[in-house]
Amino acid sequence: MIRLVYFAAAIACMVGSDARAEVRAEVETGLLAQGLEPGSSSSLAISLLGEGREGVNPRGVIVKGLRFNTEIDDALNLLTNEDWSRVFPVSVASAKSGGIESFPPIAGKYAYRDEHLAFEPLYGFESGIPYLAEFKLSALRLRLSRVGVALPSSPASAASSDLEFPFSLDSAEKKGDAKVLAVFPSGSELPENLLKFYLHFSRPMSVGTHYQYIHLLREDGAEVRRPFLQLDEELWDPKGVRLTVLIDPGRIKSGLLPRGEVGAALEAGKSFRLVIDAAWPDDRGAPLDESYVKEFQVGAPDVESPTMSGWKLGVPSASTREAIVVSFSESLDHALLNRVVWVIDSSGNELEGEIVIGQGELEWRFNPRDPWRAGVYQLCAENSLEDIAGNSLGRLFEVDSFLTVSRRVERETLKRIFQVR
Amino acid sequence: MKKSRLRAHFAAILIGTSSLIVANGAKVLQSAGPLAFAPGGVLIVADPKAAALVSLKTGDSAGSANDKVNISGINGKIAGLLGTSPDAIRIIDLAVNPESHHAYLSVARGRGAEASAVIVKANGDGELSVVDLDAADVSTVSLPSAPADAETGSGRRRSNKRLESITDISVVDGNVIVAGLSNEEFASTLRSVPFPFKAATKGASVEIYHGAHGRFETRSPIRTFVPYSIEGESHILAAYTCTPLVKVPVAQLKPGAHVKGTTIAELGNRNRPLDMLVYNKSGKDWFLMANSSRGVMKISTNDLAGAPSITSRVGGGGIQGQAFETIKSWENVFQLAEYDSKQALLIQGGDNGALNLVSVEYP
Repeated sequence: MIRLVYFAAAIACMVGSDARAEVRAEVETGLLAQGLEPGSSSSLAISLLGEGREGVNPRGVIVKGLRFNTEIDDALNLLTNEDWSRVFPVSVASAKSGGIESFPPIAGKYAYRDEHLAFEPLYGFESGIPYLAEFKLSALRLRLSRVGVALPSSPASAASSDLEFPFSLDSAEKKGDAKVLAVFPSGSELPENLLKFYLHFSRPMSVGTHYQYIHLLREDGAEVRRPFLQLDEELWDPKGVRLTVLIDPGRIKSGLLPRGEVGAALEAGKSFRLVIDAAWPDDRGAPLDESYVKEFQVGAPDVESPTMSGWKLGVPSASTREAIVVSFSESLDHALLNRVVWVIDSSGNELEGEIVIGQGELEWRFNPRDPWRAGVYQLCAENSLEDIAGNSLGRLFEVDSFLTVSRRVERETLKRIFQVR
Repeated sequence: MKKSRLRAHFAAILIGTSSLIVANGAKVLQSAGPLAFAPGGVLIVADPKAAALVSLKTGDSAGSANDKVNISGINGKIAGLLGTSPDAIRIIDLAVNPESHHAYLSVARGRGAEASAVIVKANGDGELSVVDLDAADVSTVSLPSAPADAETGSGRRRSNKRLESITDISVVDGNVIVAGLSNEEFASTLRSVPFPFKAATKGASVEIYHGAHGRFETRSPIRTFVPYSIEGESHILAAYTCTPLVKVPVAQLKPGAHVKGTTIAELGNRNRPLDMLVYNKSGKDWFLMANSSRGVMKISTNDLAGAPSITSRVGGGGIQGQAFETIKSWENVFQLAEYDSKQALLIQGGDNGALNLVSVEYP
């Protein structure tokens, strides 16, 4: 049992004359308090404030037993959050123990009431990080003296005036269970001017370091240097489970420096492997369960825009909920197929139902929620729909300004009529 | 018995006092992206996840006591302030309040998509604090979305995974200019949103092309840009992800416009521009641009009005256009901001993954 010297005299209502008191650490279920054991004395004590349920981190830290006379109590009620952060700082402890630098007190809110002082961090405590809560009587004395209130002095040595409460929360074992669910395009032959990959994960991944975990390898295993467009922002979906990886446009487009000097990222007639390292941590810091490899052949560049008139429509029968099947002559963008293609009825209302994208993104199927009725429907697509080389229904990825390509394309919806019988 | 009663009592205090309920309720920011200051100490924060701009009055007008800034290991200190480890925070952007010379940093606390968005203020004494967004005088405007979003708003199709990241923002002539990039269709947009924000503001959405590289046009995303007046006309000088430097007249940024920028410099390949600023030294303006692999460049502003457009492929060393020099002593610079009339504020990489916030005299 650790005993820290404590100022009995400082606390007016302290029971007993012994200047020693026990620091009582109330350890919640599932929490690890270091170096402290529960005590029995009714004195000043620091403990964690929390639900104590498994998997629920404590909300804060609390000092109990602050029994003062009315004058001091009134003065304490005037202290600001800033004042309290000096008196009762709670901080990350690791670097401090090395004596290299001190970390600032953790940002949070303090509340003093009824002999208790509580601290709640703005952003919670994390598992596995050593924290230190310190109650500094010297700092309290200083702050009170500014408002003309004196704390009774202590007979004990000044060096032991601080109450320290180190704690950390159980660190759940970082067992990797995140998986790569899919990589799009899903086809095994991709054009030389492929623009992007979509990586789908089973849970949110860590953000900010993905380039070190994604590799493009040639047949001989040599890594293509910097094939991807490096963006600090990283193109994740809102849930953090799908990452868009753009191939550096400079290594796709004609005439740009990188392609001129270091060549295209992908070369027709060769095979490549996209490798996702198992070491990639998820949002909890746990690695993927295994690495993921996608092998593909590279074909000729795709320099034509997709056209809706070239799509083949497999029209369902009335009174069924069969899918309408739309087949393409080239792979289209997986994400956009899910977002910018839909069906409307003769009144112009969008049908509810389920979209299924076929292998290689060569097919778009739509199963309506309600059976088809005999009559006219329209298949709609925004002109922003792209093939996997970035050529859209509206325009080519790379515009040759000497040719008379329409260079100003507004966003619009293109339609194909079909009749259900 | 007494103990549990006390605890219950105290928990009730914590729950019942609104000032103690923290980080709950409607968040002011879903994500913290690029930062910029508007006049009057108003901080503008881009929130890519919410596709919004948030302005907040900092009320921070008292000048800094120090005339130099040097906070070593600022990433570790911010992590400490936020109660976590340095590998669980990311510093997104840096801006200096021109009224107080205090630094503001947008920070993501957490590793994944659910990271908390935090604005941290650093004063001249090296003291860090979290800006209380709930208490701040805040106004928010949604970014004008591409028409596609309005049509998919019915929720009948699959959940929309579209998100536009915001690569940079800047305040020019009463407008906030926003450079963005979609995670689905390959579209790089530049928007202009009037400031102060109004409820029904619909900004311009334009596509920028630059006519470099022979006869080909490109839609590469703008990585970073600065406003700059050329012969009295507002322009933005924009650096693309594959490093050409392009000038675009701000007056042309109108809704639906097809704006063609002029390429005025090729600054070398295998490089990613990180940040830019403009400063004046000895009566002459210069641009500073931090890069991923080509250091910090000091770029001349000479004859920008008449600068010839680069229209053919740049070979060899891959450098052409406006004269520039690389500032050798400024290594590992990730962020640049104007600190005062004499110094830039940098975030510079140091030893063992430490990042340092330092003020340095302009070169």
